[in-house]
Amino acid sequence: MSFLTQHFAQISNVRPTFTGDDFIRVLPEFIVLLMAVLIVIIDLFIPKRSRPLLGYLAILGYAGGIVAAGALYYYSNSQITSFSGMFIRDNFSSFFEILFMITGILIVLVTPSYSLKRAIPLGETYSIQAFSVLGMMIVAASGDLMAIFVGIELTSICSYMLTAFARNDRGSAEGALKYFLLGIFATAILVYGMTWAFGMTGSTNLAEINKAIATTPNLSTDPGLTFAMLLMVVGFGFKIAAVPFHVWTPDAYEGAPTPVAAFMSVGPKAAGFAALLRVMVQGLPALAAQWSVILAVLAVLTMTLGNVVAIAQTSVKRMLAYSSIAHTGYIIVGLASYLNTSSPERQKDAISSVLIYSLIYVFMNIGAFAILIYVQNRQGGADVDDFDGLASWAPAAALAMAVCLVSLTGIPPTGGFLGKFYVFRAAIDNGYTWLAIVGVLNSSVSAFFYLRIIYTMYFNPVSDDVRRRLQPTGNTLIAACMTIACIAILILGIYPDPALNFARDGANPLVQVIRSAAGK
Amino acid sequence: MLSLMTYTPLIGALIIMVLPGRNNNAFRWIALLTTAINFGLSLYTTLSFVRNQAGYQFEEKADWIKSIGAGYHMGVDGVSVLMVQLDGLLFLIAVLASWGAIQNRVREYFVALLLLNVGLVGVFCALDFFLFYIFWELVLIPMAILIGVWGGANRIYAAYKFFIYTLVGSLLMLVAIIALYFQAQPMVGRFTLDIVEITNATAKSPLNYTFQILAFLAFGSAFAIKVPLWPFHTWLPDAHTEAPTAGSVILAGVMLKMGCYGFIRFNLPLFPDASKDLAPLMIVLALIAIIYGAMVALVQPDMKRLVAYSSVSHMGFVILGLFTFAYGLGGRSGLTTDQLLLRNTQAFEGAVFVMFAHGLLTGGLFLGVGVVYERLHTRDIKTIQNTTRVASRMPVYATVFLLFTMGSLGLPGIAGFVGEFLVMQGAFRVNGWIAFVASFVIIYAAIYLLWLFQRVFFGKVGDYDPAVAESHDEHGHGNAHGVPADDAHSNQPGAAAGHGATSDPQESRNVAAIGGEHSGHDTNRVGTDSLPEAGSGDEVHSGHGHGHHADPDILANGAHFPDLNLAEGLALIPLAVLSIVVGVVPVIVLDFLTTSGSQLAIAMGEHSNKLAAIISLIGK
Repeated sequence: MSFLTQHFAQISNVRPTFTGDDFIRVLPEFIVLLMAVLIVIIDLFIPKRSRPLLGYLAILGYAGGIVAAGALYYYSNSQITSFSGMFIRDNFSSFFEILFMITGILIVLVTPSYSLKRAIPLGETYSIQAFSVLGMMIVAASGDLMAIFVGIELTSICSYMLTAFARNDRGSAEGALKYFLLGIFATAILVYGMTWAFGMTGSTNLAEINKAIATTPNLSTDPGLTFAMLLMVVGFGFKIAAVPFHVWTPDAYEGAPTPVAAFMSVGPKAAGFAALLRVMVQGLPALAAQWSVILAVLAVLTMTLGNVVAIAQTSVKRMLAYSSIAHTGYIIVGLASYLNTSSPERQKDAISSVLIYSLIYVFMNIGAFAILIYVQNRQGGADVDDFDGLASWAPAAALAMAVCLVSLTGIPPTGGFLGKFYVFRAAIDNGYTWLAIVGVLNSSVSAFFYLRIIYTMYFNPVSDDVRRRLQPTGNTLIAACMTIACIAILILGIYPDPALNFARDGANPLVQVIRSAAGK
Repeated sequence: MLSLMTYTPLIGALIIMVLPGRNNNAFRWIALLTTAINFGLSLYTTLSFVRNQAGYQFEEKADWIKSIGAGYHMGVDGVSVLMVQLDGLLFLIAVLASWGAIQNRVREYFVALLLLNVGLVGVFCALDFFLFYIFWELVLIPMAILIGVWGGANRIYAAYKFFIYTLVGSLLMLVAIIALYFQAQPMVGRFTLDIVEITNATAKSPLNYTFQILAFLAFGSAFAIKVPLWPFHTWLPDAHTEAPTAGSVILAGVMLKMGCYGFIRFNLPLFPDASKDLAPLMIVLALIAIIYGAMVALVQPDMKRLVAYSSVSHMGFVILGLFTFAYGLGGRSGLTTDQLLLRNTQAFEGAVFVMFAHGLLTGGLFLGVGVVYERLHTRDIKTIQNTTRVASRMPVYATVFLLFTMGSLGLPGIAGFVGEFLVMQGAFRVNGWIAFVASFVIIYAAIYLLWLFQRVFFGKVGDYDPAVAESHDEHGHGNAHGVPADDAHSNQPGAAAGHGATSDPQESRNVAAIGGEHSGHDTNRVGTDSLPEAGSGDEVHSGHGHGHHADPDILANGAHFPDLNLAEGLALIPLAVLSIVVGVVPVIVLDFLTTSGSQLAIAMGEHSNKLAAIISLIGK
């Protein structure tokens, strides 16, 4: 007990100090926050028909945030903590912030055509999305369990709301309810894990936790700390939809408005990975080794279940939900291989493989969802049959979809191949050749269902009647999203060097933490 | 130079993609021009290739993805320059072969064909694993599309099977590439995916033996599926049967060589010890492929399927040659001398020669099958046999096809013989029994190919009825001079009934249906098939007039049934001439291989000595 009171005393002595620099370091977050609030306010005063214009404000906000994060990445390479260690500005946070804001832009582009058709209010959608993105950015940049929790909750609550946004749709309500109930359950487990970590180490600050484990004898083998980590992994496992914590995913995705499903399959997932990396690498590296095999098994389960169940799906939306589970599995492979090595260079490779895969995944998954939304708007459904002969009535959309699906399968020269190459490279380097083999076998299983859509689009006939009904109408925003996604996929596949360097820079701060911990 | 050659088809594909309008002839001409440029560049490369110089030529090197050590490295050696040459030639021919045969979605067809060309040239030129893998996979998609869109009735199944089968193999290879990348890192001194650097470094300090075996199996599974070696061959007959003619030509002519090339470029030099120790296994598989392929070919009712299985048999020969070469290098208890090493390169040269010759001859056979299919809309040997005597209707075509048949069964003087002979000779050096078993293929090949020729070209024996033939000769002759198709169609029932008297009714219904379908189809392609065979047939054969003899042939009354048209002639005849030239003067091909073969032999031989030295050192 005295141990704890002593630590409490220490904490109360810390005086929060803010300087102007602190605010510069949170500039990207600040810009997104400002944008979100502005949208809420302006939305009240402008007529309904001009609300789609708010989308441009949102894009402007995200773009400003990206510029700010880019400038911070470019000008300050070192790791600086602000707000009493709550917030960390380093390359890792810059990488994930930019990733989340890109997600935000792509989602804003695909939202209006879907929402206008179904009378889903646009202004609120944009602002809640922005708050959700803000939550993710906080998660990526947090150096404290409290901040991670706040960020995760901000993201999750916004996601519940977005899922339920199609109010008149029973599926939307059902999905939201399932997502909400399981989500708060997971959050409770997560918080419980955090309290255990706090109880064992006396701090919620990740660096302090690390220091406490390193300096206190026998703490790293204490079952209490293991329990804390177990609970946190379960909590984050829900957020990233890893098997066996994935059960909410298909229903929530299917019920949610499609743009929201696209958002959920990318954003909160990447945020979960960012949190997992922060906690594991920065807070609990001493425990990392014992988790490697468990994560490897999780990766196998996640990849296999995702891919095998996806084969049986007739709804493309549900198929993409399972495929997103499978991709979680590939990313966990990178994480597991990080935990299996003690060489900083290899750890850097492993962490950067998680980062680069997440980035590539943003483009290919949102790209695929964008075309799904396009088809859904024309056909009304999201089944594989609705893609019949897409190539004959919307050749550009079919081509874009083919690029995204080929990339999701992992075939060069697309980004998906590079991502898989990088992840499996990390796995093989760190003694997980068997995991890499399971991974590639899973890739070939995934070819079944991705190819089926390509085949449906290109080979299935479509009657003239249907074709006349489906006269392609230009949709600039979705077209822009498709174009961005396809170009990014191809650039990441053919000339990935800049992105790879960015990801390696992003992994750098975490590796330095390990290095300094090892030094002690 | 090599990059220019590789990406010329890509430029062509892009032009076809963005070209406005639906002018199919424009697409055809652009594709022809592009492949012609590609062929010209490959010809230039081949001719200016210095044959007795070791190592790679026309090298191009640049940094690409520095963070993983992938570079842009292209270059050709004696083996790959031959493959690139074959590639350039067969694609030109494939465009000609699809000139009239492809009538729907012409734009997409030529885009896919040209992308396939990019991938195939790239595979043989790439000297960096990353680049190689990209081209390797690039081949997969257009080929699956060619089969899936323009293929036969069961095309979707075939395209799927082809895609998944080869994808599994290549993904295993990907794992092995990454593992090799880490294994080679200490030897090279840095992370690199450069094939040449890794090969040189591992030749100096051999890879771990267990790793060699595992990596050999992983690489080998990708290549064995591509070759295809028994028991991984099941995708091939389906893919061939369903693919359009040009697709089959490319598939058999170039794509199967990717697997053999992979064995030559990777398995033998990178894992020499594993190659030697696993050579008996590979030899047994190759022998099974040779005999099994030939026996199954014997009973095929479908012409294309028959040729496909004959490919399995011939590719078995390539693998046999390569691994008797490797096995010979193994040397029984150090008996090998440099002399013997160099002499055993015969098996290697033979194997590559078979690859080249098979590209010409099987390419020709598939084109030939396509010509019959165009006219009769069936490839079923029995149906054709019962319908007509192709030889008397299409004498030029029959002669050219006979040449390919003879070449394929190994008649001396035509390309097929040289390679098989060299492989047999190499096999005999290793073990007489191997050569004994392999030689059975020549008997089998003679049976299935000659039987095929007899059934397809000479029809049923003994159903010649001059009376029937006389009474229909009038119609047949008139039609050949341009009676409109509608008129021809109206003659059909009478013709079928006339024949119905001499054969069973079931059969005549069948035949009438074929004839009807055919004359309907003909109206679409008046523009292309009225061309004569450009006189070039005369140099191959002599004495056949073009007048129609009295035929027992039902189609004579209803159907337009011309001999080779210009595009077909241009496609088939150069192949025939080339296979004779190569068969008579094999040295023009073998010259390319001598240096590569002896280099490989020396590298592999030295390598095993080094490993033996290391093992004995550790043993002590």
